[in-house]
Amino acid sequence: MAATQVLDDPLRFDRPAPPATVVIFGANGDLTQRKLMPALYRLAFERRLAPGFAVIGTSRTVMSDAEFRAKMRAGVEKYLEDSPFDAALWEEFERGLYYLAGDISGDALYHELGAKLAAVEAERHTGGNALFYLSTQPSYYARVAEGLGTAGLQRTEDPAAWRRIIVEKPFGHDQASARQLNASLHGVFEEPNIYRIDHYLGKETVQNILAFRFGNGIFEPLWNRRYVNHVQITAAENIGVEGRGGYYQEAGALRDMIQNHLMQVMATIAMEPPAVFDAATVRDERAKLLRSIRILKPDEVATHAVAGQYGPAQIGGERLAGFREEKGVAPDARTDTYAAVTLFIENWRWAGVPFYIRSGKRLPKRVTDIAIQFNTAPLSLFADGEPGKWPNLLVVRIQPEEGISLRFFSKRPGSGMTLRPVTMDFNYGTSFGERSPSAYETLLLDALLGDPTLYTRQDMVEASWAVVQPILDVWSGSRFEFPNYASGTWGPKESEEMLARRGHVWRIP
Amino acid sequence: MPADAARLLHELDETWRGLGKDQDKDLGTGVLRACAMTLIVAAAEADDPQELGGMLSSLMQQHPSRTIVVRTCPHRDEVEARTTVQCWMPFGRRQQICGEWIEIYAGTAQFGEVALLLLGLTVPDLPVVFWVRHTALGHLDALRPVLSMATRVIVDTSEADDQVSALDAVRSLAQDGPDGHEPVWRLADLAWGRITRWRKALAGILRNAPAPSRGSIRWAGEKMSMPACYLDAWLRSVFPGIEIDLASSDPVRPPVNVGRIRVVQLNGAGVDVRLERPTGGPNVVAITDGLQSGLVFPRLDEATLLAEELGIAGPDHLFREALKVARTG
Ligand SMILES: NC(=O)c1ccc[n+]([C@@H]2O[C@H](COP(=O)([O-])OP(=O)(O)OC[C@H]3O[C@@H](n4cnc5c(N)ncnc54)[C@H](OP(=O)(O)O)[C@@H]3O)[C@@H](O)[C@H]2O)c1
Repeated sequence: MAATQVLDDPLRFDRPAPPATVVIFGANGDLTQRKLMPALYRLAFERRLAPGFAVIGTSRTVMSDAEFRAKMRAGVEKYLEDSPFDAALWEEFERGLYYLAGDISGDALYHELGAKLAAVEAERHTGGNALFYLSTQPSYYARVAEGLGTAGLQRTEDPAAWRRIIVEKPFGHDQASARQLNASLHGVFEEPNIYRIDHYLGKETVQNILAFRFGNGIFEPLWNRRYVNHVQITAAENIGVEGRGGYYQEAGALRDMIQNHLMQVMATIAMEPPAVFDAATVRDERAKLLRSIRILKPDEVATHAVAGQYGPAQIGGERLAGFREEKGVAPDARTDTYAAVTLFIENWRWAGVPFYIRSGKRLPKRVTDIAIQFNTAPLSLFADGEPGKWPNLLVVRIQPEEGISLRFFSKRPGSGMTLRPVTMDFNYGTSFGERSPSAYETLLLDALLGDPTLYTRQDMVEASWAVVQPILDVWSGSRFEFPNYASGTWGPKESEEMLARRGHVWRIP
Repeated sequence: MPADAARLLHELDETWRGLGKDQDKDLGTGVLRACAMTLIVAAAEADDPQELGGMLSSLMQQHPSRTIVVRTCPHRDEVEARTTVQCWMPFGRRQQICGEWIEIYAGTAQFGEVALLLLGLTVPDLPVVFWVRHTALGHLDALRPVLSMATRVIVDTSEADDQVSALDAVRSLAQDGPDGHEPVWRLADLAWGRITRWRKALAGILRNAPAPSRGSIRWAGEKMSMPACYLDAWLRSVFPGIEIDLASSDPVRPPVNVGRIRVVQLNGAGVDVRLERPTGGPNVVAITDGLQSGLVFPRLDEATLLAEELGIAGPDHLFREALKVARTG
């Protein structure tokens, strides 16, 4: 018997990541510097990487290994969050960083990459394992997979070695292109080796939703249509498109946030308890939930979805540009910088409970949270309360301050029965002094360990596109009076009207 | 004034109120109260307050708690107590996090009184961890009412001179529940944490390898080291039938916190692994099938070991199994 499992002690030490080379396509880009390298460095800091760990970065710009290392170091020093930079550790870490210049569209890159992988394997003892990370323009994703396939890099001779591919967001720009991309990837890689990233699933607080729901017996009995009145999911940003106008113009809030991140969050909040906590079962439940979301008919879109675009505003003496004035954005752009949808889940637990999801840019603050609004008491004994002030509310805060709050009515001190809403707060950061790993740390490590629980699967991606597609279709043929909300406000008035139809109001998070 | 739980808690409340007022002045960048457990530390009068304090407050950052230090002062005939609030500023944050601290001084004769005081001071509905740092295990009887509400009891046999009685004491604490049942607390021994690095290294090296059939462990110091005793027990519990030869390789016992295990060797069909730590320092040489590589085992102090134990949720089956088969020679 191999000694493998009996020696592991998950209580005390983490299973070490196996040796591997991470190949980053688009290594000269923003994501690599801002997120990927700081996450890998941090994993090295935590001693979670094997000694035989290496990175091969590739993009068109010609750089030596030394130049690439210096650029990555600058990125890590600048973007490393919550922890100090250790120069000695960096020196050890950077010995495993290599660079290869080349063009994704040509064939040469992939053959050179094959040779480079073999050389790095010999030098760093990576055991032939490789994780390909697509951190470049989405239009290249299929091309990279094809190139890897042509050069035979998607597999190795050694049956113990693995080859996996991580695909960044966005996964397609509509249902058809998502299917197409799946087909292209499947032409080269098998589904278990495809890791589609949704960094929201890597966030500690999103994972904590599962612990909260299924680790406690208190809330689950209330988690259904009998007690829950409606659910609001908000992802607001106070910034605009910040130089990414060209990209964002093509995407919009519905594609960029709701189709992927917020629908995954919704699945996590609403899914059935998995029978066991393993990757396949958890993902099956998420997928099942996404498939249960009612698909809107074209004539329902107007009442169930709202598009918005921010206009200019004068805030504190400063003039903020409207979306159409942003760099790289067409003056008549029809992009939704705000989107709100009403969704229903067609299963026994949730039938009839509206799930309102909204996301937008240039809103009053940066906040992501989920609010479960419970039904009010059946009889209002204390008529003097402040109605509409959101008691009976459970809020799961994802950012910026991660935690969970329960809002309920309490008696105001003094004589008389006056009620006031109060909050009971659990704050993630203060209950655990430990630092939470960033979403990218969690996800990269999981991919190295071969654990896809927090990655999305083909059926999940296609199910969420199926929900969003009818809205996109109607919107593409509609004329909107854009801009329809001023920067620094909570979005267009149509969004308020959408909730008012069911007697609800958006919370102010 | 004799120590009184209600008065001490009131004192703490007052301190918090004071800190809360400062918070307003500070435009919201004040303090946050954090607590995940009650940590009771049984310490000796002679324990250096600076060292113990520094150690416990570094621990508090990862495991915020109401910390209650009980100092045994043999000649004291009255129980005395004082409270403080310990604050720290996490890296990159603007808000201080604070935990509560109570220090109790008492003679062993007053342990009955101390037990009552502790019962009134624990934080409701949160785990109670009892760390027996220095008080002789025999004195614990008087603290039994406190032990009985502990979710974890932590001892440290690393420096024990007499392994036979140390192991007996640990075993009896591990089994010694009401009416011969399993105790309500989970027992931990910091000496077990001292072999985590060894176990992790072996788990990494032996991944995908066949099980070894024989081995040897060598340590520094004439008498057997408790970590070596646990390492032997662990290997025998995970590889049933393995034969392990135990011996001292150096009569000189190194100072506290310097590793005493020097060599671990495992052999069998298709397995040849040797880990050597020649000086007990951080550098360890691993020789696998004749190939040599270097490992680093950072120095372990009490804070690190305790943090490891506090980070563990649920029962530690591997430790329990090892404890069952542990031998002292
Ligand atoms: N940035 C973020 O915060 C973020 C967040 C979530 C998801 N994403 C996704 O992650 C991916 C990467 O984002 P990013 O912001 O890093 O993009 P980016 O800054 O545009 O980087 C892409 C890199 O790819 C390289 N590249 C472009 N064309 C190439 C070609 N033909 N052959 C080889 N290399 C080429 C470019 O470097 P050279 O000019 O040197 O070739 C460029 O630096 C995108 O899919 C994006 O949607 C980004």
